[in-house]
Amino acid sequence: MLTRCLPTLASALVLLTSACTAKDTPQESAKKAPVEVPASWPASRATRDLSPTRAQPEHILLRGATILTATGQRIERGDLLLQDGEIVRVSATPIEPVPQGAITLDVSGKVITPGIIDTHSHLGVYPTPYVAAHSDGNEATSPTTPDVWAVHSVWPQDPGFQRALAGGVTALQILPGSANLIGGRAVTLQLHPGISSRAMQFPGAPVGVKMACGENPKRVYGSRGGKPSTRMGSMAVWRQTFQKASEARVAWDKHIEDLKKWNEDESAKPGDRPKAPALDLAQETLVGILRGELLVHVHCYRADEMIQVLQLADEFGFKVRSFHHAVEAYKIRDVLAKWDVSVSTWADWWGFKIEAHDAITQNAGLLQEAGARAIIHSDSAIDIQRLNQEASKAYWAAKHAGLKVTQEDALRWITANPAWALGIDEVTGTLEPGKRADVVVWSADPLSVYAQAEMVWVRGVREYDRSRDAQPWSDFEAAQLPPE
Amino acid sequence: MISEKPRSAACKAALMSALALCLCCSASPLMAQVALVGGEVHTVSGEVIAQGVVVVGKDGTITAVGPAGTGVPAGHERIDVSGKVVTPGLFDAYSSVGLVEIWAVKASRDNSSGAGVVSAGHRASESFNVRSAVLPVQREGGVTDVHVVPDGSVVHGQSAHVELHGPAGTFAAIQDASVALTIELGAGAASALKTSRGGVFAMLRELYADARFYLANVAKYNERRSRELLAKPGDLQAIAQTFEGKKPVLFVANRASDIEAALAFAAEQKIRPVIVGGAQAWMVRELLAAQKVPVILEAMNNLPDNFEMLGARADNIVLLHAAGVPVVLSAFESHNVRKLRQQAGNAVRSGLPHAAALRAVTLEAAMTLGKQKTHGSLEVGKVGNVVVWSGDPFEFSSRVEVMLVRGERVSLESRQSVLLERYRELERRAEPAAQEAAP
Repeated sequence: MLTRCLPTLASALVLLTSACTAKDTPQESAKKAPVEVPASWPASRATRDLSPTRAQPEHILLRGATILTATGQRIERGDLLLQDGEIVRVSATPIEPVPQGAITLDVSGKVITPGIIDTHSHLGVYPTPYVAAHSDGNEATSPTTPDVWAVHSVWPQDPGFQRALAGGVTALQILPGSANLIGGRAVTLQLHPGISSRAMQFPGAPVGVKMACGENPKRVYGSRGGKPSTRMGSMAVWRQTFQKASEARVAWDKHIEDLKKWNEDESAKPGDRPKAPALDLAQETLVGILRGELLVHVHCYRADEMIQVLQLADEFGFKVRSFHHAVEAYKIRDVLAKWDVSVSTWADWWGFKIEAHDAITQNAGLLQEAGARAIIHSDSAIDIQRLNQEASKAYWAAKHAGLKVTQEDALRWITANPAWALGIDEVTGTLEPGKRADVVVWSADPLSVYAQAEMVWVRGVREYDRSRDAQPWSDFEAAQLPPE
Repeated sequence: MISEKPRSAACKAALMSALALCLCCSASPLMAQVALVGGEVHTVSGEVIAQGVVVVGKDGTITAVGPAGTGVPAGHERIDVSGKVVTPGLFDAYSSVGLVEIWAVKASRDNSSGAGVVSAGHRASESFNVRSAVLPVQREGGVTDVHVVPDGSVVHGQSAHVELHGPAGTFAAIQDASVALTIELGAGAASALKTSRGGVFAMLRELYADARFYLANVAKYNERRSRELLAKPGDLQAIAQTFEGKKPVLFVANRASDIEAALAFAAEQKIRPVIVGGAQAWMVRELLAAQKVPVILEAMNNLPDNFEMLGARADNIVLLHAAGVPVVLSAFESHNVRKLRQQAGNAVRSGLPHAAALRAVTLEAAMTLGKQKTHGSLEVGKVGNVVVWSGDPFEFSSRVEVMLVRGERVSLESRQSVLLERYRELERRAEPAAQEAAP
């Protein structure tokens, strides 16, 4: 997934550069200069990181812990070696001798897991304190806003980021809210502190897009006398939007073909050079969806509506990466398994809306049993701090109901599976050599309510250590109260 | 979607046990005679009994609690619970369960006691829906007792103590229709009154003065020879019930200065205060401890949601308990009161002793709400609200195995368990379509 985006990125750069320089070419009136042809619509744009994070990855040997790799492996008294921000070795036998330059940490009696990953967070876009001036999660001015990017709303000083880290979270997707049918681009962050949201971006992570069905968009726009005010209205707006995007995609593809022909045609004049269709930020996102370059995350509760969204995706030829909330996913778990759509859900939230009326705690377990990809997400600044507990509730509810689920499955609901949903599973989500050193040391089995994350490494940097008196990352929390 | 064919064995078993439970529940509560034998009994009021016996007699009250060998009178159903953990039913001290079926469906929502400033005459008990499908879901969390509190005003309506009994109508769920008065403080109250914090207390002071004036001048009031009063007789009568600490007054307050002001106001008016929320209570714990003011709080929120909650910390309850403040946990939930045990588990995770956490979800709740004579612990003479757990009540791996409400073994079936059975097997007419790779 990561590598798939790079050519697009590169071609986008080439396109932008060539578009800027073509006009000034002195030979324009004389002989036509061939231009580089972009491979596709520029779905991604490269920007420089102006505020990089200084991170010091540790060269460290974690010794003697129970290691849960989230690949289904459980190692008793294993060793884990981290170096240069990566996992170097996962060993069932003591690593001897200790590699030169590595420090050794005895973590016997502890439990090690991959860092927890949350597919659904609004940290930064709805930060604490919840004041109107910080409410930046819903661009509720139009039912479709594919042009907006959550990364531009994220307030990196949200105190919730550091709390999430202390709960073992190493990566999380920040989504726009669900007021809009198409809410905009999501962003995946890693939990290094950063002065800008850009500095917190998970390197190489693909871009997600937030869509929402059901009660929210029709309530928000219907209450203003606008469209959509019904579910059929929602579907009409979606179909119309993707119809236009399909046409934009065709126009752009045609332009690429025309450009190739112009390049190859010896007799073509510089003045005949095909004009590129106007670049439009909304269309960029939509065409990115149609091309499968952006990962689609759909807020959707009801089984019948999820089926409708899959039909929409089918009609326009894109894929849904994950349904979010999806409390009725268990009713169509066979379809979701067959279509390889992951499901990001809660353990036990229900009853706040009629579309959340049929939630059951066994949702994740039933999905797992059916071979679908289950994920426990938070959608909450509190629950993100204890996703291990949320997974545990869902696991034990399934287990007590006699479903075929394992503790390893439950761990994958908050590690490997969300990594897949965010398209970062090649680099994180499990403990395997070569992957990022996103690692948590727990005081006890993380499915226990009493377990504490004691240390958390993000790409090899020990960002959290319970034994150290950590200063708040957030300036907001600095000296906000008189000293005790 | 659901096949008419006989379902799986597990499904049938569930159906059978549900039937069995129903038969058991349909009996009159007067028939309840149960002995739980061999479990690890946490009485909460006393020591933990390693292999104890709890007997609930005919009238639904506990007739014996003791070690192995404690006699079980003839005619009692004997349930072997060896290896299990026995506790009082959990008691959530602050909830809107039964007042709201679905939050976003306005007509199913009765949580608010009114847009008015003073709604003390309002009773949540009269909004409470004993047949709500939300109630049975809570039993899976071992909750037998709930304090149901309305909101929506500054002086909210009267709260109710409710038992989550068996089938609707078997016996009265509402134990007390007027447990306490609840008063909102802080920014919310100031905003509702279009004033500042000081203005809220000015109104409350006037209200209490009016309640006293009214009590002394009922006849004159009825003859329309009274000065103008801030509230209606029903409200003032309800307020008068809190005089001299007869009933507690719950002050919803998070900021430390609001808590201090509430305690000063309570002393001035000679009323019995309880603090609800208390995000900054840890900052004034010595004061709370000195006056033995209980705090009803939760154990997870550690974020500055607003400027009243700066410094909110998950170990708030630990600091309060260590200072000697009576602490009571609540899930502050309508649909997930079942999460009360997760609150308790997280309190322990933050450093609260396990026994104190169990007390915070049982006896301390009962004491705070004036129900300690009948509820909150396993003692002879108290009602037989008892839960048998497969293990540590706070661990997710444990489940409720037996729940007694007034000695009645209640069904653990809910709308959610029924939905699970409806979809345990997916029998469709055809396989779902395969997705073709997007072009």
